[in-house]
Amino acid sequence: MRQINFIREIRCHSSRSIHNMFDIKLSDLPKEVQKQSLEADENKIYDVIVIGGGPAGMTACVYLARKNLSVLLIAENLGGQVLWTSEIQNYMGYQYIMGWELAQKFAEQVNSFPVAMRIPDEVIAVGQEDHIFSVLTKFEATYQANSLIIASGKRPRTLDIPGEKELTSRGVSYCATCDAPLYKGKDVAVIGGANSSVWAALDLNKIANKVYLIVRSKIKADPILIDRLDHAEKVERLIGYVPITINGKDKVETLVLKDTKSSEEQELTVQGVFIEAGLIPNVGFLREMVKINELGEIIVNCNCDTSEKGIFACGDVTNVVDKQIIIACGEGAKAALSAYRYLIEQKIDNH
Amino acid sequence: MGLIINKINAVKIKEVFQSLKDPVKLIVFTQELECQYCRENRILVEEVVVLSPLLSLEVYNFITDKEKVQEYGIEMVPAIVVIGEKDYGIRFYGVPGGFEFTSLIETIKMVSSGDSGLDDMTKAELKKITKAINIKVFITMTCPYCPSAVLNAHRFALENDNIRSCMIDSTEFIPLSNKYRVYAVPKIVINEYIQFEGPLPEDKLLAEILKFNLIC
Repeated sequence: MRQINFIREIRCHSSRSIHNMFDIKLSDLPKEVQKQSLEADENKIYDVIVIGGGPAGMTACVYLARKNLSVLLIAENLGGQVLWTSEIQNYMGYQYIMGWELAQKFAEQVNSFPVAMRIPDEVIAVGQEDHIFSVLTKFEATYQANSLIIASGKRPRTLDIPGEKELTSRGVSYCATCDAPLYKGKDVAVIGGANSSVWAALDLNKIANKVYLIVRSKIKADPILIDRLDHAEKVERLIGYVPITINGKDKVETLVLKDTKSSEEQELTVQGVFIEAGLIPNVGFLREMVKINELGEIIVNCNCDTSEKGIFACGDVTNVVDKQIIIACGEGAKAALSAYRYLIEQKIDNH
Repeated sequence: MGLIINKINAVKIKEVFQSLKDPVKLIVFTQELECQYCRENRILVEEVVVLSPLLSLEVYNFITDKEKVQEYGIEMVPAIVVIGEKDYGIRFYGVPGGFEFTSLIETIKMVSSGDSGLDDMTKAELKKITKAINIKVFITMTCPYCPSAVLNAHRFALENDNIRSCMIDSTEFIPLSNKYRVYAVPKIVINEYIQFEGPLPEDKLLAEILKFNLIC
């Protein structure tokens, strides 16, 4: 990350600090000779549409393409949650790798296969007629396939409080990694007490003038992060508070909090509100087509079958308990192989 | 090892630059005094151009080289102009570090090939643009979603001389970011009138530009 407060060191011509400051990221630089990705085609019936470009979806694409199936990947980006994961030490083959680097390696591998891509876009509705699935995207494209793999992962949980929706991208942000540098010298609030919230507060501590960390009950981040937080001078922890309103005309001006014990309200003057209140499964577009559990996750069996024939699911959007990159990849592979078997059974061959 | 590009990345970029077709000139506008990152911007580009014999560098001073500033329509520094067979109107304002480094490398590749990589239908539609279109893409270096927005804008600029595109580092040009109310990135501004946050797919960005071409 760019360390804006390191300017003085750079002026001293320190090669180490200048290198860190511009920390160049060669993301998504596919090797030209291998790049084979295709344009998305609205007039074609694909064998499989994969919804979601995280580790599960990308792995599924590779497995499907290797089976010579026609594949369309629809995603907001290639990488998903991995893009904003900092350090990864438990993905086999890499003792230490940054999230964006791993995402880049996955993307290079997908790009080396003939997979059609619709990026950036997002599926907003799914329908089925005569065994053919159709999907509608946010940007009004429609695609069809004989089967679907849902790997849509999770999305940030919203607070659903007054002012949140209206002031999104006007000071309310769900991507501290992206937007934190815009709040240099400003007062901001971070909502949440998990790892991602503490990471956001630590990032903002280097940039902002003042950082309020708003936590309902207890900070649940890893001890190593809490230790770092202890040394973050600009961060003030407000524990036992919940946000109830975000105020502002054209941009965020204040955040109203309520004390969970006394119900007393308090108004903070802030220019930014970073919401890190956890993640929820991205299943809204399915509209009860498949069974989900009480957490909103798609219920799958050990073959990644859902309750609906022809629809498979994998990764963090499912009820598989552990949400890990390596597990999502494995599940992506399983979903692809199950879809392949399903298509053979259906004797559908579009080649 | 360079000051900004380490040895591993240099090897990787060299490999990527093997596919360059035609020469590309990078023109850096700098102002060593009172410009926070001009020096770093120049160093970055110097470290890039040595990685391929097809790349060359020219450096001009924003204050003293008035003719060049005017010729390339440079509005602020640090700035980089990427020139291939001609000046396609592609600009980077602010250091293309962090995730934006990818945008710079991909832009060099695109300009060298003279091919935007856009869909044939998009190319045909872009040829119909007759009015001056200026696409500004506000970014932060830590934004993983920004390069795709920057690259799409540059691809569009390559296809039609009426279209100009620029990457703008929001943290570097704060008054400009305030003017356009940049609170989230990527933020795209088309000729002052059309503004939105988040990257758009090719066909939707095209629709926005065609809309402008039609109504204004």
